[in-house]
Amino acid sequence: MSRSAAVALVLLLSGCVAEVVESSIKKAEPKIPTASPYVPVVVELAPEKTLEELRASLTAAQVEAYLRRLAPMLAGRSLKADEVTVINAQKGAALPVIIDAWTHEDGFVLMAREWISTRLKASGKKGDLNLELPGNLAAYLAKNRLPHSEILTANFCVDDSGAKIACDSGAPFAAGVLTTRAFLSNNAGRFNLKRARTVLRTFGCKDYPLTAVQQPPLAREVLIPLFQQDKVEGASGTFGNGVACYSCHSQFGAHAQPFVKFNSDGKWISTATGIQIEGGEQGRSVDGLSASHLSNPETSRLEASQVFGVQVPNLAGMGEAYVSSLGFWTCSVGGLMGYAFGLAESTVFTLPQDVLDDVVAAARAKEPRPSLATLAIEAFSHPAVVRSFDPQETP
Amino acid sequence: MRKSPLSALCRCFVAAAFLAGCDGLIDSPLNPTVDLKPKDPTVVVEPGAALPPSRVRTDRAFTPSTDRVALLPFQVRMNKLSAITGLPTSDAMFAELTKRKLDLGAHDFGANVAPDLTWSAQRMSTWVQALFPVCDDARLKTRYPDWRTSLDQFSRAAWGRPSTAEDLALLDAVIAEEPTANRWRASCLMLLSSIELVAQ
Repeated sequence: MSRSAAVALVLLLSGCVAEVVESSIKKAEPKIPTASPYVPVVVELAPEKTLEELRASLTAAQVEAYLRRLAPMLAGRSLKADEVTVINAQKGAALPVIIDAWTHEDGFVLMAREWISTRLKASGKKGDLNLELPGNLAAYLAKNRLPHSEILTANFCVDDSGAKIACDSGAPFAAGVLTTRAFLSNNAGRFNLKRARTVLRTFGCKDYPLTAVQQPPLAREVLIPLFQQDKVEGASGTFGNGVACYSCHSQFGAHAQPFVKFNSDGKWISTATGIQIEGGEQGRSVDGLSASHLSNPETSRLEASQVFGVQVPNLAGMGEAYVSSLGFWTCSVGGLMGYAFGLAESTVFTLPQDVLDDVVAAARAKEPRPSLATLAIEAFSHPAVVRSFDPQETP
Repeated sequence: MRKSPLSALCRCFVAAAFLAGCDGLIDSPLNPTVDLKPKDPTVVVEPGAALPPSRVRTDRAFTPSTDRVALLPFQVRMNKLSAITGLPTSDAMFAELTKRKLDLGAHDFGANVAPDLTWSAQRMSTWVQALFPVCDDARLKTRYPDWRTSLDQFSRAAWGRPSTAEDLALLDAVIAEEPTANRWRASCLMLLSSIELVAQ
């Protein structure tokens, strides 16, 4: 929108069209004209300080204390003397330089592995199940500086030696960690709810219900009767328990459907139907599969669904829909900060949006789909993140 | 009648919100687009109202928790020991630590063990016991023959900084309490268990 159009819009909305002309756009000055006391004027704000300028205002002591804390978690080691020399010379400008160097070290790859492994609760072995696959993929992507989005879209998995392999679910497609049996079996459950919710919380930093803009709900009539119910007028609370099912499950159902052919062991079963097992526990289908939210057997067996308003053919499409959303990137940044600084999930979910947006915008200006390294450099160089560790005045 | 400052503030806010709304993003962080265009820098103010200097940026992204000590991930602690000793984490010196890694906070979800990075009394005790082979290893004593004179070398490797007079005073306090024969080992255990070494 042009500035004059924006001005016109504002004035129109303010109901003050009459005496204002383009010349009322002024540079910020200490005093505002007072000749016409009731006529708002449009002023241009002082230019916003750039992140570089804000970084330049940091002291060497601030930067050193911050990087001393960050180094073990991000680089897997202590700060080094030569890095302190760089900090003393460059102060805040040293941040991206030093963090960039860290992202080339083995410690950074270890951090990526630990972050994803602990987030998805997947490490070690269980019977024939290799729970290291999610961490292996995260480490591979970090080491090779591949787009971080491949954590949900890679068409391969990575074995314990670091070599590319087919994912172990047996599905005729792959979607990064989503098509590892480690993730699928860890999060198996009735109606595939846990799988859908874990993806949303881990990679979207959100929970159900989303807004209808974020996730358009499925039509009531396509759901099984259990989930068609709505909140009874006058009932307290917002959680369903039989009275408010539709508000959440109209969205849950869309995100659960791409999992319909994965059984509780994480194996892809081509003959899955999504049909509720007769006389069985609600949400269960045959052979360790889960039931679909959809009532029509012709659609309940299909993996196709709609995720964030995008039609997807299967779980691979769902992964792509996730990483195409801004929420995936800001959540990745928040999750990374949460891991590095031991923040509670509730804190991660409420990190300031302007900071996350700054980080993602800066990273995407370098790479359309940034690597974890690029996200880390921008995230941990952000002045508001550094200042989080400044001593606070006690009231 | 002159409008109140609050009213002026509200007008500014509304106008700014409308202008900010021109960037094509709906409120949803899950919106599938990101707009990198700079924000419109204008804002409507009323005569006499305070002039906002610029967009208010968030000053601090979060408030770090200070109510508990959280250990570094096990492998990071091992990396630090490796840097101090100059030996790889696969060295036999670290076998006891590796053997007891699940007791020391490492995770193995396949064995139903989640990471536990609390610095509990039990974990401190386990850590110190598992350090005995490290502190009894002749190679470490060769590297740090006398802790007082080697403290700066140790400090740089372990803590990433030069040693201070306070560090030396703490070391001297430990040395003073131990019989001569135990001093080197007790100092070793104390230094390798320091919070600055093991905690986030």
